[in-house]
Amino acid sequence: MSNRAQGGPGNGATAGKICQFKLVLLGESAVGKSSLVLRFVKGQFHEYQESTIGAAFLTQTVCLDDTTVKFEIWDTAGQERYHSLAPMYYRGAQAAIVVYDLTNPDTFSRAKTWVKELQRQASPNIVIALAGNKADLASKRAVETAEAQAYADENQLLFMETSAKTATNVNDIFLAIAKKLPKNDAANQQGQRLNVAQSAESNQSGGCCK
Amino acid sequence: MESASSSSSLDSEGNQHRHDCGRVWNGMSMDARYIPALRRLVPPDHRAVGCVRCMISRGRKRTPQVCVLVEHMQEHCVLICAEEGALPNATLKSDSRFPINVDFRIDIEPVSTVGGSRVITANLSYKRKKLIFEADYDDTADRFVKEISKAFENSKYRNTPASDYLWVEVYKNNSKFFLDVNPEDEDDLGEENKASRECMVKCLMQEREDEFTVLNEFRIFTGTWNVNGMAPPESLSEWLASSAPNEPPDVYAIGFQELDLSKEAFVFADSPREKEWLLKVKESLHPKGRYKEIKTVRLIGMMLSVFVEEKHAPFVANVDCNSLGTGILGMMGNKGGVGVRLDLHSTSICFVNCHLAAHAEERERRNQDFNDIRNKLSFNQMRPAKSVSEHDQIYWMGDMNYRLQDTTKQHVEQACANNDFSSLWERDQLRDQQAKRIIFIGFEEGPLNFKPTYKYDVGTNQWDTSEKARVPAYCDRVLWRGNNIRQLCYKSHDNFVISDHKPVLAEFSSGIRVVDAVKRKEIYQELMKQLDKEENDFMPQVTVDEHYLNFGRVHFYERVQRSFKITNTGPVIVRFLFKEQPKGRRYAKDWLKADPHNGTLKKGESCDITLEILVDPASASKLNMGEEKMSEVLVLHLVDGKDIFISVDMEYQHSCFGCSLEALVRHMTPIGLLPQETLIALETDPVKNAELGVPFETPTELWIIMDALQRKGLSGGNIFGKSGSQVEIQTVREALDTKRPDGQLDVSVHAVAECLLLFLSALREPVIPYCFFKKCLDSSVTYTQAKSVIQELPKVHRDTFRYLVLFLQELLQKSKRLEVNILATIFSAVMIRPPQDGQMTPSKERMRSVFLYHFLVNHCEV
Repeated sequence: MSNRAQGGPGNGATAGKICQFKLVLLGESAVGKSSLVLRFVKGQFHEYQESTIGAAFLTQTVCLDDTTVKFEIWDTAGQERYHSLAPMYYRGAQAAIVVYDLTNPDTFSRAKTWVKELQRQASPNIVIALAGNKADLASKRAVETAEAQAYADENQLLFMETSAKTATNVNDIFLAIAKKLPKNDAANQQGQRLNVAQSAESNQSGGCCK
Repeated sequence: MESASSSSSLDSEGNQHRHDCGRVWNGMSMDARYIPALRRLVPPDHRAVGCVRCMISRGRKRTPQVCVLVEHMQEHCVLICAEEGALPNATLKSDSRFPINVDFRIDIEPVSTVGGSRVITANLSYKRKKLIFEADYDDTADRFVKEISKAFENSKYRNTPASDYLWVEVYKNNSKFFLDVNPEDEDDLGEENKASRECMVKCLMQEREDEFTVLNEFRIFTGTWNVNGMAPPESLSEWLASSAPNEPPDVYAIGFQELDLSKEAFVFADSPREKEWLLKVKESLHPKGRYKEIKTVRLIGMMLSVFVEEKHAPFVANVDCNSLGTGILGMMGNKGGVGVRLDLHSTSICFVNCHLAAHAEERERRNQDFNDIRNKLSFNQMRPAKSVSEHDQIYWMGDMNYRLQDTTKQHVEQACANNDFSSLWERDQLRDQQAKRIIFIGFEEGPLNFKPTYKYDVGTNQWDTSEKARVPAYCDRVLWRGNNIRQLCYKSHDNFVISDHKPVLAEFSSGIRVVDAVKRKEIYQELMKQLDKEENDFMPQVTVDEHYLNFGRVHFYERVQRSFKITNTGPVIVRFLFKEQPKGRRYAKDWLKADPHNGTLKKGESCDITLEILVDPASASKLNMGEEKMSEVLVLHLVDGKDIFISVDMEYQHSCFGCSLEALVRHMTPIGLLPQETLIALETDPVKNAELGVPFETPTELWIIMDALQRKGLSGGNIFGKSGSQVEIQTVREALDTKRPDGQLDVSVHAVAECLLLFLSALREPVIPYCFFKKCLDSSVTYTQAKSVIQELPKVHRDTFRYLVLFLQELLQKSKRLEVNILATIFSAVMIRPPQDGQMTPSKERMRSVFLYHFLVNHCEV
């Protein structure tokens, strides 16, 4: 039978479905989390980006070949005093970008502890990307690409060195995450089943393509 | 679902209706003041059954709302609405919906009296959504709740299966600009937003279809033949492959009538003739094209087959077919119609093949047959089902059986001999009826430049030579409706002689909308970007004037307030609330409270949020010991937007309130003068870190309080009847914590009495230690049992208990106004406290009160 589901070529609209994912940015303060989001969402860069005291929320859509991925982005405050609140944001998230400043080795160590925390506490199928930001400051580099790459490989993280200032790899890292996220319902349901303990908040954004 | 929600948000016509004529019954379960608002809320095909103003509690939140019961086709739904504006011009906006079906529950509680007024309470739930409905009890509210309950009962016994409640969708508030959403509903909201985004994109893409589609010319071949129940001839090529040799049609739609006149065809679905003819058709299609059969549908003698060239097959979608008999009861299908619909690229096409009532005098019957097919033939696999007229292009063929009227066989023969066909058209019933707008409204037909196709003597090209000598007629026709259709050819083929009809063909060049995938993706991305921008630009935004609030030094039971200002600086209404902390903790530690802790801000509006610290007996001990941090980060959440952190710091001055009896009896220095580390050490190991070698029997602090009470006199009525002022309580606390008062405390007796209760309830371990709590309740039956429990207590607890009992006995003697059972209740509550995780119940409260009561009425043996 040649009858197909609606949404085929006939109805004029695109066949692509919209999958919604919660993405959280984590990392030491002043590594450029907000700048990365601002560059990705609005194409802007502010030399003096205000410190985030809270968790900023923005949405941005990425169009892939067959699907559309809508990110709900939570850009969290990096200051240590807010650390205990981080679970509110990575809980139920399907993706995380852990950011460090490649001119500051301490922020790389902090990034590693974030990765560990995510691996322990977040959804088991969360897609984690590691971003070495401020790639434009090559002369002040303190974390070698190879070192970060090796760490990322070991922990199965996506990895890119980015620059919110020059826009290098900013769209790319979000696009890479969008591609890696599971788009089929089954994968998402499994993700939810594994996280039964999570509150309503995860359900809010947990389902894909309903 | 999509169509329903799109119609509610986008169909302005529908909205117009809603404003005009929502059916509202002024029944007894209706607060009449809301009728104008209901007329605006409830669409014409729904009915408002009841409406009352009420309080709705969801989780910890309790808000005034309006509850509406609506009905549609015997299904009911409860709407929880927000009221905007003042009565009678108020507007109702539904912010949550409780369809009354299997997932619905209602539990009505007995009418209760709260503060002098009677209140009716009902618990409603739908799936995971729960709420408590409370309304002032009157006839309207009573009837309203009964209506809901009746609707629920009826829903269980309905004959028809429950619908998916799509009709409720019109009450969904898709607009992000009205943030009347409850945090408890947030999971729902996520889906709603997503659905609306997908739906919105679909609509916007349809609006811009012209930008990413081009019109491509497709050749569409249609043919119709009444074959009189005969087997197919050797070949049909002359008819079906008559197009130009190098221009094979892109689409074929071939209709037959009287394909099978056998009785079996009426009874069985299967017909051998179908296979024979279908095979012959396939063999005879244009030799230059390779065709794929898209669909064949047959109703007895009527058959319709649609083929497309193989290269177009991937662009064909949503194929469906159906048939409609117009014979007896609409079932006997010797007359009627069959249809096939499909989407070719972005153009929807419907082919219909029909066989209408025969005989010259049956014109009205034919008209009715046609209109039945047009109105009733529908394609039900489509969601929603599509009728024939809902297609971009319609090609309608068949043996319509319309005759030539007011003419003779001789005249027709004459006209045909002279190629003067136009003189026949004037006498054609079909054209006449179409011109009168009875049938085929909006359809077009090309000129009939061929001889009438009926009725021939079988095996010849001669018109009816029988006795009846019927007047020839244009029975077999093809008409079309739609844009961008050009007829290339419309003719009959005389060389087929097996039937009393001749086959007819009509070929078209039709403009089909073809999607330019690259262009479409560009526009899609552009739309997404635009929607993202709108969504982000309309995100709620606020500024707060303080992110850090330092309360400085805070003492036990000292109320300290600081406030900050929150201002809506964004483009939309803001709903804010303090979010729960991780691990399901309250939004702040117990000693911190925000007021208001949720609210709404209009654009540009500000509000002051007051944070108040009050370290009460429950928190005192933990803070004394440094077991709880003296800071907190509050999460101020904007619904549908960001979170803002508000940090609170304080420095708690440790106090004798919150210490343990063990520690208190082993020190001389006032607690407030000890460094905190010393206090922690003392509490951790009172014996080892004691200041005193020999401990006091009871704490000095307790003695001072008792002494002050004695001095102020116990006979002056109920000393627990009033509470002391803030200042007075701080004076007592300051005295106890920093110096040993020898004179009288300059405060009222009530303040000292209150401090006694505070002191006892703040004790790190109550007078009856936690581990004796259960035993104590179990032993409350008799005085003897109760006494034996006291014997087991650690010495300092036992001594303190006796000291307190003696004091209370004295108090009872001196103050005639105090009743023993009241005193027992007051003091048992502070002396006999349940362990941290212990639940209190009224019966446990009674038991502990009885326990103490024994000691107050019996002579206490010290």
